[in-house]
Amino acid sequence: MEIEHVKGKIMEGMPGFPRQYGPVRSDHQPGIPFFPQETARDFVLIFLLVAIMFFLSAVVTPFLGPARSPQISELIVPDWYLLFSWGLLKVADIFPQFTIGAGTPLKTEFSAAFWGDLLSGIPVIFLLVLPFIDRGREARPAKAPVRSAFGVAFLLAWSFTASLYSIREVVAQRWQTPNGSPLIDDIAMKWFFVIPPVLVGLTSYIGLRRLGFAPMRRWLVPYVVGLTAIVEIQAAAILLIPGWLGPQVRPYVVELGVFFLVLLAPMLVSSVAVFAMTESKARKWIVRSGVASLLVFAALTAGLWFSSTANRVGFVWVLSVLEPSMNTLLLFPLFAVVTAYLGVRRPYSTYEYLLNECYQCGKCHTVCPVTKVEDDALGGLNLVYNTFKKQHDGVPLWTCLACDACSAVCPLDIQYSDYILEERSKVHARMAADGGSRE
Amino acid sequence: MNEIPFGFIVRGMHHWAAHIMIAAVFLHMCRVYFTGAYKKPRELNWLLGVILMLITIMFGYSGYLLPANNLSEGAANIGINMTRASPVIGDQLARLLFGDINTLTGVYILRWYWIHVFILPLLGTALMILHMGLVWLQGVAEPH
Repeated sequence: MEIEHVKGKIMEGMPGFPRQYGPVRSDHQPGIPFFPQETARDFVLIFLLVAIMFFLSAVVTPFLGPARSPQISELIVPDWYLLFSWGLLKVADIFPQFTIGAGTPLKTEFSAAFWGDLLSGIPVIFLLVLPFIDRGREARPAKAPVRSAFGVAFLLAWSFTASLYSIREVVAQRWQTPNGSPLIDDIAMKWFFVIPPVLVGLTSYIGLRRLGFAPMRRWLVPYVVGLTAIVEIQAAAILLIPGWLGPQVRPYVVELGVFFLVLLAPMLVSSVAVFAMTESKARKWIVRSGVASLLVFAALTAGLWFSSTANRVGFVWVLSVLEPSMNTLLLFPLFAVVTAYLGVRRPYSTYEYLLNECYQCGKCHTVCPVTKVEDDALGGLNLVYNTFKKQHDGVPLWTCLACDACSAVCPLDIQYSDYILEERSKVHARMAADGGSRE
Repeated sequence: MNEIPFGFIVRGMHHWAAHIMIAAVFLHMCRVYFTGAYKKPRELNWLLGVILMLITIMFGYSGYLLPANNLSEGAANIGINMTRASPVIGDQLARLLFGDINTLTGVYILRWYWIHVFILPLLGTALMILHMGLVWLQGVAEPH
């Protein structure tokens, strides 16, 4: 079927289909031709990938194993891409189990397997309805922080924690206290489904909105101070409530207290920083306290582990307190400090961020008076996009008249001449710093 | 296959290409999601992409059912039980997909072999042509 025939019958004028399409298209998008430039680039990547696969095939032979044997009982672990589903199947026993319509053709058993199926299907259903529930126009992650934070939390963090839960037996067997109970118990691993994704989502949201120049103290203060308060209360409860610490851990209460201090110190500094300091000062204090705490934690760990067997045992007992509560005692300090930093860091350069709004409609190019006398490369290139991408000079830096004709027609009201004037002043500043000579 | 000359490389390529393909499909989906490239007018292309991702995962699953080792047996058991847990049609669907709910007979291997070498490649190729055709017609949604 020729493309012209199809065009005539079906697609002409339909929304979403440009007037020109396929190989006859002459309204070039900015960029390079498909053949031979893009083809050559793609072949480089293809050959690289094939080389990597050859190397892996030669060096790491995939395990085959004997034919199935009921006598051999081994831990079955699906391939990594299905671990999330297996983890959801395993966690499904927390849901109530019952049967309706027993004895009828429509009997439905709400078993753990059923709930597991449903949980595995929920991400798929969400992906299928996504374009119909997110009808907003904004595409960029920084300008759609809710969607982006949700995606990071559930596409990435949730599937990762679900995959971790699927190997809970391996974790329980591998990391144990000296008396044989698991270091990370099943309840803590179940809470992995909730707490890390929520923390990741909130942190992403705050970080992304900050990129969009939004002042985030209104979010940061309750978030960071709240996490700090929870860890303080929990640490105090563990140390002060009689009977909380088991008899095996009590001899190591001093070491435990030191670890609590190391975890709490950067949280307290971050809380004060986001509440009371200026942004530049807050950045420095947050980074320094976070890095210092990380180094001290690592040094304490290494010191206790490698110094003597008695200290190593003590360290494991300290971990037996920290790790079952790792969703709070270990993750909260990390997220509080990282979020505090993300919420006060410098956003993008104003003009680069604003220029990035451009969706290449080409109106600026049409009205710009300089392009009528300057030599252009291909027709149809748009001014703002290409200046930002540095693919074509567009209006060269020194010939822009700053007439603002482009801004007048820009649907996104990009102030292009402001950008030009700022860039010119930067060049002048560099020249002045060099004693007036050209670069 | 590991014993014939260079058989281990052919087998290895199949294995690693499968893993890299699934990772690439997932990463591609993430890029489209985070850059909002599923929005109007590309909803259909996104739906095709989600279906292709499921087909790719099914390729991988059907692939490791075929060696008939203990992992295959365990994975088949899980698959059968998950399918049977579907309300009303569970048992019939399990029989359709696995041939026999009793996995010890190994009938599922033949059935999933057919799915792996014929059904899924046919569906996958057809949908990939549609998927890439739509990109050709509508243009790449550039990340802004």
